[in-house]
Amino acid sequence: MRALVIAHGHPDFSVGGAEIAAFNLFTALKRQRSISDVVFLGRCDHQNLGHGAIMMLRHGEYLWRQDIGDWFRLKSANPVAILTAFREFLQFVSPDVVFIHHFVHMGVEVLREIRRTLPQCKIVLTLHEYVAICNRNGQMVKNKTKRLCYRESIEDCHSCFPEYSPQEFWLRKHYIQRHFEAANFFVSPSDFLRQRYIDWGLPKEYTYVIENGQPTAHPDVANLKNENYHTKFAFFGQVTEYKGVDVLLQAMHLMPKELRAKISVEIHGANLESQGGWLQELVEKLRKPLIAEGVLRWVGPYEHAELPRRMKKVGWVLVPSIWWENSPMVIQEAFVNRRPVICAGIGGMAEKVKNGVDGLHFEVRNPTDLADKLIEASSDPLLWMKLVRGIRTPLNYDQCAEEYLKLVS
Amino acid sequence: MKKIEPIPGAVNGKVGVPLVNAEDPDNIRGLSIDRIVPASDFIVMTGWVIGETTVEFKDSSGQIIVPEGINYFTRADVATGYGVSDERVRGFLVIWKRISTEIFTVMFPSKTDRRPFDLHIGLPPASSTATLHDLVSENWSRAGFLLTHLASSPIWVAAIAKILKVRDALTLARGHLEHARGISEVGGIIVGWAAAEPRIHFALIGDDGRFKYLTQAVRWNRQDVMEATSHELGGYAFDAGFLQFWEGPLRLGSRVQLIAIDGERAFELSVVEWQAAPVDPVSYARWAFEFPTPMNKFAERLSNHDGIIINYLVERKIESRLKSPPVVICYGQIPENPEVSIVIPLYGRHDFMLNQLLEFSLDEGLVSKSEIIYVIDDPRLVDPMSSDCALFYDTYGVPFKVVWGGSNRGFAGATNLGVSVGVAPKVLFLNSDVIPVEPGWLNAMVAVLDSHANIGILGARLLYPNGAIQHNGMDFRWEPSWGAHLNKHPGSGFEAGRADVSDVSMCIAVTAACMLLDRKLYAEIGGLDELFLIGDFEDSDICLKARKLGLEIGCLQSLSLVHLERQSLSGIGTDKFRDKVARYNAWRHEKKWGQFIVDLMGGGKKK
Repeated sequence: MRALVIAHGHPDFSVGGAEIAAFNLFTALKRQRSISDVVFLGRCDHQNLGHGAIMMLRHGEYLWRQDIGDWFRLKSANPVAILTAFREFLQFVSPDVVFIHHFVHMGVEVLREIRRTLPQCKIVLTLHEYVAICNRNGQMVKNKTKRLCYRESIEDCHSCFPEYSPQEFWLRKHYIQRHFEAANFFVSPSDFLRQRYIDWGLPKEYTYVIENGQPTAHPDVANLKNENYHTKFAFFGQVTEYKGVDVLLQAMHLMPKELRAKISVEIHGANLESQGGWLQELVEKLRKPLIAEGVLRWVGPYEHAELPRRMKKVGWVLVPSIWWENSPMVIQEAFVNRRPVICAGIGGMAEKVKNGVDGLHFEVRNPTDLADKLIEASSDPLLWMKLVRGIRTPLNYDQCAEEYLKLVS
Repeated sequence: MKKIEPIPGAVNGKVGVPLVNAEDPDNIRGLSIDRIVPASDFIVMTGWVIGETTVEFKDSSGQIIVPEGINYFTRADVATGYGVSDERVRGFLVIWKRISTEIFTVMFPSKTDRRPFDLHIGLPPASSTATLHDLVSENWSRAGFLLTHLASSPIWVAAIAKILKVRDALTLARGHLEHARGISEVGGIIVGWAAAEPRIHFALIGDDGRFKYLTQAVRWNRQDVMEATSHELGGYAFDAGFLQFWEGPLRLGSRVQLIAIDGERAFELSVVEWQAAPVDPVSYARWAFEFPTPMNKFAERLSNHDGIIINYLVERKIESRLKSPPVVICYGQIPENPEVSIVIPLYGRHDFMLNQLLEFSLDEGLVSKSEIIYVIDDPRLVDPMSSDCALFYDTYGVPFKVVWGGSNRGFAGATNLGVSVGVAPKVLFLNSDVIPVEPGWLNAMVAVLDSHANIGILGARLLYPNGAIQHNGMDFRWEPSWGAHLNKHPGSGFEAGRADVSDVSMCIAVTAACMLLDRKLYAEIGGLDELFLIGDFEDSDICLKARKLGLEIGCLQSLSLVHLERQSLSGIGTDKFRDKVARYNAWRHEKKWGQFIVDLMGGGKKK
């Protein structure tokens, strides 16, 4: 069977979770016996490549210079290229199955084009966020109030975006759904996201949950009993308001000083300087005294390859996001490195981390509750050990690829 | 009843002999011809009638003749003169086209039972221009009527144009001429804007009386005009911008008027003087392509308007090249009886020579059987090359010639120049940024061309530096928004398969970046076409010419060369000027080859 994996980025140039997951699937498929040939197509924005053109990067890997022109309808900026360069590429690769991990930055039209040019091909669309459902960065967070959104409807969406009438939201949904119909199967890394999409209109018989594959775990049980892992916490990821770093810092402030002195928190975060000024000021105001106290270490950004080493130095991984999330890579990575997770109890986070089994939940956006959890977590080393033992090994890359292949065989 | 003998014409066209029946003071009837002016194909007559609302005409043989046009109006002066009320008098203005009678009979309508008299008028000899001007001036308020019927006569149009007044407030027409630039021998373009209610017609009039309605002009929307005239014209101001070709010969400094014809009236809206347009074709294109022709009308604009100007300017530029022979410098000993002339034009940079000469130096077969001809196509390279080339020869030991023709000629011109200073029976066009990576490539190409009598032109597989295909044959794709077939490189960007065992594949066309053909064929075809603007399509043009002679096109498969072609040819958002130049070339190519390509690609209608 010939396979094609399509993503909205190539990991050589773009480091988001979804494109990394797609590329990992590509490399895993290369090892599968039932796959005779697999090709990866990643979108890029390289200026030296003509817009719309597809160019080989190295054997088996291609880049496509493309953009979205209309974010409201997820329409491509260069629809002609879909009918010319992309069509030619599909005919050249001639896959029996296409795993498409995104259409953002390319255009939802690619789905129908694959179906039209390769009528017999199986198309599997993996959904990594809610962009087809929600016009607000695909997060399902209300536009002005930033409250969590539980349900889409054309009237609700119009309330968030008064500049678009309910009729326009209907047209948007119609357009996107008709393009989704080109796919045979839909895959979500979390049941939470799967359910949201089913509520939106995807057929549940064709919508599956397959977790993103992770590197094979190398558990290091040796030193666990000797260190005070249960008092060491860390956050890994982008420092945006949606990741809840300010909630974490406020929770630390709410702990009584003598309890706070017993813990240490590390923030391994990037891109604070690209955030809004208000967030930068708020974070600076909150972190300064904590750093002075010695309880907070602001470690800064990291290369992906450094993650295991950094995670292994601490006991708990914190995921205090203020939105639903889907299947945050950091949770899977924590489990690979055998570290329990403390996270907000909503959405994909609450699904991937089981309270009292492999981690703890706190009430979303509530620093007081998070403070209580930090105290609880740091006071009893036996709790930490129990949660470590409760961690299930995540799917590795090959197991993930096999799950995908089961769909299409 | 008074009767009058026929009057044999009159002096200076003025007849002015009224016949009036005054016997019955309550029922005065009268008839008069004031002027009768023949000029070019037309005869124009004015007069008046008392007591009827219309008149009729007969020719010498007594047949009723119907004029081209007749316009009736009030004559208060006549009414006062004869003491009758205004309603009983009608003035008339009549236009005849190509009437061969010598005597007109003007009479009351034949159905009238009491016809007091007929007026017989002989045609005067051709009038002096003063008479013509007098008639026209007297009828200035009927200029629209006159123009509508006399538009084809420059003498009449020129006279009418002189008496046009600026529009009055009743006429809802606005317009302005912004540019009129051209080249005396071939013509120019007039650019401006015009907007009016639909019943009003716009036209352009030259000093020489040439008249052209604006209906064939290319139109586009002018937001500034819409905003400025919205209170008067509203939606009628849409697509007010226009561009119109004016055929040569032109006299620079002469004028063009923009006029509005509103029924029987006409007004002048704007005047502009002809100025010189840039004569260098690229400079002309830079200026002319600024006018925002909608892209879907660009081909139409070229066909109906200034495509002919650009073509003329390109031809003229080539003819005006210095006739002095090119400067040729030889480095090292060129083989005496070379089999192949390798022609390599250089523009902008010459450092590619290092990589090429290095590769050539490893290819004994190439060096012994070819003459390498570098053509300088860029004056900026003359000095650096004169210092570097001797060093290149000393370093690599590969002999080569360098040619400088005195000016930039473009890819086609530079290549043709290079071919002309060579002698070998075969010619190979090679781009300066095509670098061979294995010796023996030229021998392989020559062997294939020699062993396949049906192949007239042979190309080669070219790869991008990363190993993806850059060229493996070309074909055509119909591009609807351009109205033209464009060159396409199938498989470009994709991984190259292994070099094919079968040595050659057949294609529709191949790129001139690496192209081999017999000099005889090159001469029969006439070389590369130099009339594309800046350069484009020369390769598909020469391939189609070879096909027309019954020959086929092949592409060598057994090896590849590297082409450092910039990958930046884009689908959207290109440099606007470059895009329009490309459209010009596509239009020109399509005019030459459109139908041939359609037949070649499988017949039937264009897609």
